[in-house]
Amino acid sequence: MSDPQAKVHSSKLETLERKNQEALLGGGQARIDAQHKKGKLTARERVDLLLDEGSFEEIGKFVMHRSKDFGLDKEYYLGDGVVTGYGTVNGRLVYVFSQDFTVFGGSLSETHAEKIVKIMDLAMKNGAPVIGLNDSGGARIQEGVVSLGGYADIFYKNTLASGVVPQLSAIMGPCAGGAVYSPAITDFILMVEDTSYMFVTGPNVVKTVTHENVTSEELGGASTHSTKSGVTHFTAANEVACINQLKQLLSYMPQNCEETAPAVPYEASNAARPALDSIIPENPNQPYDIREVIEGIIDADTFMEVHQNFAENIVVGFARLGGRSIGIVGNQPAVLAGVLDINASTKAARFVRFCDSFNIPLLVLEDVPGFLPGTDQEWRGIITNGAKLLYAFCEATVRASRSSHARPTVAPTT
Amino acid sequence: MNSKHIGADLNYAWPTAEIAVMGAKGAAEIIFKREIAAAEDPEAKLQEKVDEYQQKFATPYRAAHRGFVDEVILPSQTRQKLIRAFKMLENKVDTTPRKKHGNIPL
Repeated sequence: MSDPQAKVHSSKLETLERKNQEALLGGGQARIDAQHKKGKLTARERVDLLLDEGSFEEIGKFVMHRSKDFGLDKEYYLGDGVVTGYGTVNGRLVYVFSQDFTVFGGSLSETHAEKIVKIMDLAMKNGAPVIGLNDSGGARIQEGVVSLGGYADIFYKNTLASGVVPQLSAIMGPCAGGAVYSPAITDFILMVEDTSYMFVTGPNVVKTVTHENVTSEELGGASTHSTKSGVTHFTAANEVACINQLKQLLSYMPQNCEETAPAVPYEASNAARPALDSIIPENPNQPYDIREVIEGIIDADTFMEVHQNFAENIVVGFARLGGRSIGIVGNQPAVLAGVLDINASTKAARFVRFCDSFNIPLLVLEDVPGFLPGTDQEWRGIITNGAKLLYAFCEATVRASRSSHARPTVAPTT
Repeated sequence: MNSKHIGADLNYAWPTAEIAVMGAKGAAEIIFKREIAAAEDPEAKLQEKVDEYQQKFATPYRAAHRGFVDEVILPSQTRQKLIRAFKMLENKVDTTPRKKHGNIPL
């Protein structure tokens, strides 16, 4: 004799299980296979790689879009193209959203945006970083202005959260049009080589407007943005490396602007570094690599350089000193004699402001001949742009040390 | 870049540092312009003045005499000095004037 009530009950449990399984599949197995064929991971695989094992708690798994136009009322996917929730990285709370390219090409709908905004609100209230894993074709055009409103909601939250909690953006696929501006407002961008690109308009529109023939990679690939534009702070050879960079980057940061970054245990020993005594060449015209000075000061193998291939005449990045997290800004005599130009100024200013926002002490290594003279720099506004660096240093109240370690601190005048 | 005047807490210099308004040659050319022009051998005079400027100003000691540099240190000591400095500054409290937000020159 079976109990009919127990039967009903178990069928309800089965319904939940079925829906859970359906949500896990996103846009379906065929599209997942297509994603893998492109050398890309799925939204869920990325979340699993990022977070500590078993720590992910999903929010909004069964959310669906509300559109009726252009046949959308016949096509629904649980989660609506983005996986959102929270979990831990090395035991520390983070909020994460991961766009699912297998659902409508990861396009951003009203509800997709609402899910992202929801975890950003939680992150600000609870004081923990937000990590965005971006892989989206752009706005869900069938929704029109409603989708655009979703972007605006996200920009607004990005801006409110700026300086409150760290915001990191990994670009793991296309990121075009309005979609680029959310990552641009966040603190750091990481791009995967060959499979990701960012641009305001794609190659087709560029061809129509300016008659330039350019590939997606040339226009907005990882190498373009890490060398020419400086839009991305980091690049990685593949998605796994990119996610490892995210984890390392987080390790230097506090959870929010009220806290300090976690220190790792440090035993005082062997603090003298005799090699530094002979690092500055006798001949003042002979360059040296500032990275050797950095390595000579910090805890071994803890330097994580930001903007490694952009404005190489200045070197910025995170490191540990006596187990504590610090930010380093150093002129690079090996490139353009370490001169300050527009790109170097904006690069360093942005880094200084991030460190100051999040209580990361600054170490400044100074060996600078001054600002770069010439019409190119003057006409493009070295005055305004150089002032950014000055402003950033003046504004910073985080504890700061400067080691004016080598040769001239001179400004070429007249 | 980050001098004490704009808010650095501690400034160290290596003995190799040259802290000056401009390079010695450019400075000598301006300061001793007439003297050099009037000399029998202007080249030699210039070199003499460059050396003079170099010795007087292109060192960290002028800045250290003023307290702009807190200490001139051996490069090999840098790590221990900085570890102690950051530890000393661990509980630093500093504020800026109340405002809505600043207007960084964008």
